[in-house]
Amino acid sequence: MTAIGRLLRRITDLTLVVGLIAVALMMFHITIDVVGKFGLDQPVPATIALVSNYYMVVIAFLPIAYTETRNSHITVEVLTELFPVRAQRHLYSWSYLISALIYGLLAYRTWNEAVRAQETGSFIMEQSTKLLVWPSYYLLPIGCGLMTAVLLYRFAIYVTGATSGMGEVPTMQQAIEGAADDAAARAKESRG
Amino acid sequence: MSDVEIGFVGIGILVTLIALRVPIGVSLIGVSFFGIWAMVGEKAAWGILGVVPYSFAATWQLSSVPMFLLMGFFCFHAGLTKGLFDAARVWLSGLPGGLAIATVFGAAGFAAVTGSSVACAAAMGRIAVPEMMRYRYDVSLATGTVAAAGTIGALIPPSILMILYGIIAEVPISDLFLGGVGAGLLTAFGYVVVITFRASINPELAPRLTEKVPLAAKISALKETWPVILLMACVFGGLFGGLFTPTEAGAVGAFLSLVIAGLKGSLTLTSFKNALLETLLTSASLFIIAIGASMLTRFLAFSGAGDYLSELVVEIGANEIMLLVGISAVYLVLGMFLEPIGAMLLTLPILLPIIATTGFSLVWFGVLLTKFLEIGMITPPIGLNVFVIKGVVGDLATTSTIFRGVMWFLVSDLIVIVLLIAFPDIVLYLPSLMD
Repeated sequence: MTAIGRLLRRITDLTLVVGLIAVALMMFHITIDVVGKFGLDQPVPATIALVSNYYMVVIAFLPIAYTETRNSHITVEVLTELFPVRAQRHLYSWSYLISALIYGLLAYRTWNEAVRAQETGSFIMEQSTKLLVWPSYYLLPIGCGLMTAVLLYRFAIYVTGATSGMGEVPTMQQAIEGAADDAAARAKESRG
Repeated sequence: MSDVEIGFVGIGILVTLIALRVPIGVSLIGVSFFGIWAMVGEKAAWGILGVVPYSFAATWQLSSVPMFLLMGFFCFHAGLTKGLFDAARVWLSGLPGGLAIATVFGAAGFAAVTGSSVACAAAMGRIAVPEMMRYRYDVSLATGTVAAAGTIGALIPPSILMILYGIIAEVPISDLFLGGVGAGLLTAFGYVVVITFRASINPELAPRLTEKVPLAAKISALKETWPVILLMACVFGGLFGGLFTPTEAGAVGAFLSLVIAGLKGSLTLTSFKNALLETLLTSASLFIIAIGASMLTRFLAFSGAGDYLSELVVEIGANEIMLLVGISAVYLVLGMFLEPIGAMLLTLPILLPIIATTGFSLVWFGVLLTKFLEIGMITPPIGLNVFVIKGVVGDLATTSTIFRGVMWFLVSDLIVIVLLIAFPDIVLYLPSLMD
């Protein structure tokens, strides 16, 4: 179990590095294009297509799984934080299964779409530059598939009680810290 | 079940899932997929699941979100707030509550380089709260001021909320940005009035500073604001002058703030990496929700639930004022519990068709919506800005102390809302100059 976790961690770390590079490159690329356009009358070819179809697709889909391991996907805890901590842990762990189902469907469907795009050899013409875009379609099944694996792994850790090797933020850490903070605040308030 | 019924059942399931802490993006995608399956059939559902994620994310317009986020994070790590606050401080410290007023001015200035109110509140909190504590300001006033002043961050451009609204409502982002200027300045003015009022009634809240700052020192403090002024000139000069698209403005702004941070010596490899990481995680978690919202829009369109609601609004004889009062009430309640971008992306698919049947300007409505959502950042029990300030000040104040300090500013915010509704030109004047 732990070994699977370590492998997943390696892959999510790799997607993270690719994502970080994409953000930095996107900034430099667009800046160089702007300087080239206004300063030298020589824009970088196919900038809009590259930004939209590559950088943006990397940023939107590759880090989904890493974001999950940081518990950074946006959720609403107003109601559930009233539940006992143990109930929250069960509830949150089962929600991994719901998320895994949706991301699994996404991975399956976007894979088909990527194969279709490859077969038709999808490309974009910008001014006179031809940019192949079908390879970027594969980023979706990669990102969503990895997310599905991470979610199923988290659920498996919950069911088996095994030690996780993924280095993720524990399911309940935020809730536990939040409760401790609240208790400390209440204690302080009652003291005066 | 009729399609409209499926639409409403879908909304009910969506709310239930979100309340049970299923991630918002997953809830939106799941409900839309199975909802469309139930109404139109398997083929349409698979089709939308396959096409929407890529076609929504792979757009030039949306790429301005990570670029403006990056610019804000670089500015945050570059410590640009200190120069702004110091300058506002030496000029305004003679006024009642001068330091708190300087905080509002500093936040309004920082708002021009960051698109998020959380970043704005955190950056101001680190600088301004210790300073106000040094002069024995009331804790609740000091922390409340920073939490509230942070909300100016998403009103004065750039604004991540407005970019996403612009994409979904198909409104030019530069119009929204210009519209936000009026609302942001009015908000800042309201906060200054609140502070002056409170400090005049009860001088103990904010002891007057007696130090006299020589004019030369005042002028030299202004010089420290150059990075923000330079950034504003390049980014907004380019954007509103029609030279740059929003993405280009954001990328150039991010690059310039990186250079400025480097020149000021405040850039480390760690802060560079952190800015990239925060940009990436924020973008990825927003985009999946936005993709879900885009699918929900289609689901609701198929179901006709939006039309049904619009007809209902007409049928009960609601005039535009009643509609606005209703919308205000909905957002004030939602804002108490939901994170603003989530709240906006969840509600727009339902609301936009209704708004489209009225004569409201979509630019004006977008700015008003941003204002509502920003009020939600400081209303209990869930007020993100308040939590951020709590994180910054640690044991100095409890969350409820900060919420108490915020209450006064909420009064001013409600007046601002009424003014924005009564005089839409506060928002629409600047964009009208563009045309």
